[in-house]
Amino acid sequence: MRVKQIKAIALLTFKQALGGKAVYGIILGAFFCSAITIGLAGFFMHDIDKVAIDFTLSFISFCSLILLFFVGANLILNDINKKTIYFILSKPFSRQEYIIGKLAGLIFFCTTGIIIFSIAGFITIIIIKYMYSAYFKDFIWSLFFTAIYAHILMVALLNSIILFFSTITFNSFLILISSITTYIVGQTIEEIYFYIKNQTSIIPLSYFVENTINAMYYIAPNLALFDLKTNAAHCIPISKTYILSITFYAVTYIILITTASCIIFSKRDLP
Amino acid sequence: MKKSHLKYLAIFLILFFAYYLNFLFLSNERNIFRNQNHIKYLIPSQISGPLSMEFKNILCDFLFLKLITFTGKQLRNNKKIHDINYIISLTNIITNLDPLFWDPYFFSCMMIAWNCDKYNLALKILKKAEKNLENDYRPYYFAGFIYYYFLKNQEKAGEYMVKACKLPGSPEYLPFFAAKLLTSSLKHKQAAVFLKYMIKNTVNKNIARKFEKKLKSVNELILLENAGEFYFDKLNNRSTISITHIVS
Repeated sequence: MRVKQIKAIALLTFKQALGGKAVYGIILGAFFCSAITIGLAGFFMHDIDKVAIDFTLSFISFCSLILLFFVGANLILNDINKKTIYFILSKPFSRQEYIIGKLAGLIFFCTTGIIIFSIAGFITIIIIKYMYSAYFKDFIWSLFFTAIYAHILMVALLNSIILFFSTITFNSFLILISSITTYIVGQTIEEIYFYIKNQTSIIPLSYFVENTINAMYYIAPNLALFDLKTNAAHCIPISKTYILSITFYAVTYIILITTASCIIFSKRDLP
Repeated sequence: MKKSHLKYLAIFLILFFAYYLNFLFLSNERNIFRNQNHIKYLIPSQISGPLSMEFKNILCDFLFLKLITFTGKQLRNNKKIHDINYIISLTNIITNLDPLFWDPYFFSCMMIAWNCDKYNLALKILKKAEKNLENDYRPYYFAGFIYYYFLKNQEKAGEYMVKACKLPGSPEYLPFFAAKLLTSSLKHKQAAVFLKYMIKNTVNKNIARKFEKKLKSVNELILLENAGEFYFDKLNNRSTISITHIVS
């Protein structure tokens, strides 16, 4: 595997993603959401700092997820539809390099998007902080940026999952549905697992349901790990070991799923 | 301006006027529809929590806005809150989703205490806040306020204010108020212990000096209290005692 080839595909993917008109609309939407936050913050009594951070971080998450699902789901498909993939693969690029390059490009693109949204969020908080400075006494910027970092990790992990589904099927609707389902499962599985674990003594579950939930808990990515919005909003410190462990979890999961994507894609017949 | 342009402008103005009239009519119809079909449904936090995924906090904020608008509407239309259960259930959902969000505790307990005279329900909400916001003085402070202002229980109010004083961020005047409450409920010894604690834990020397001054007067009250007790004991034993003996 050659880094130069991967870099070239990553750059191409980034440019392709940037070419989509939807991107600009989403970025505009993020700035619009930020403006709404400034207006809404005034509706609250004491926890204005908490509300401002809630809204800002939630808008960053929401916009980056739209960006990811709408751009990411079509990346390989666009290459197939426009026949670019044949052109790339006829050059000295292996299929593995193509997949890793695509993933790197997509991660780079989404991270750039999140950074732009974060700048909008940062400006919003600065404005609200200036307007209601008395309510921002306990506010810690580092926690705000840690929450954004954790979100970038989650988006990177979701990128690898989208790419994985893109190698299994060439139907954009199926890719989108599977990716969104994985996201929903990933966000809720931890809560459902612990909820059901505590409930089984009262309401016994069927063998099948219990085992499916257990299996999903270990197989599906636990995306709730990356949700640090509450910590940022309430200024609850996060340990360095926790941040390190979620980073390690995301990296290992991405490597694992990308390896699977490479294996599947190398064996696939292109349409 | 060309004739055709004028024609388009006229059509646009007519359409705009028609839209505006329709909008007014629809807004009125919509209000009637909303009032007729108002269902006060609430999704329990056990379901709304997992459903909202990573957007729990923003859901809390929106539910709190719903709580404010609902209460405001009830007060505007009826001058009184009729549906306390709805307010309590909504507060419970919000505080289950985000236990550290202070605004819903504060808003609900104050609304229930001021407008519905249900002080025990208000105190119940504050009890939950005490449990969830361990290092926050506000739940104790407002519980103390309800005991002092509404229930006229100075002893209990004093106890809560003392608890509030010991937590970070409490106002500077609070220890004096707590000491005053304890002394006026004839709990002078408790007031002295509390003031000693505050003197020991206050970094600001000016404030500490004010506490010392207050402690001095409380100690004098204790002295009088002891003397009074001594006098009444003697009175019960039917032995005579002079007033100069008590004062000395």
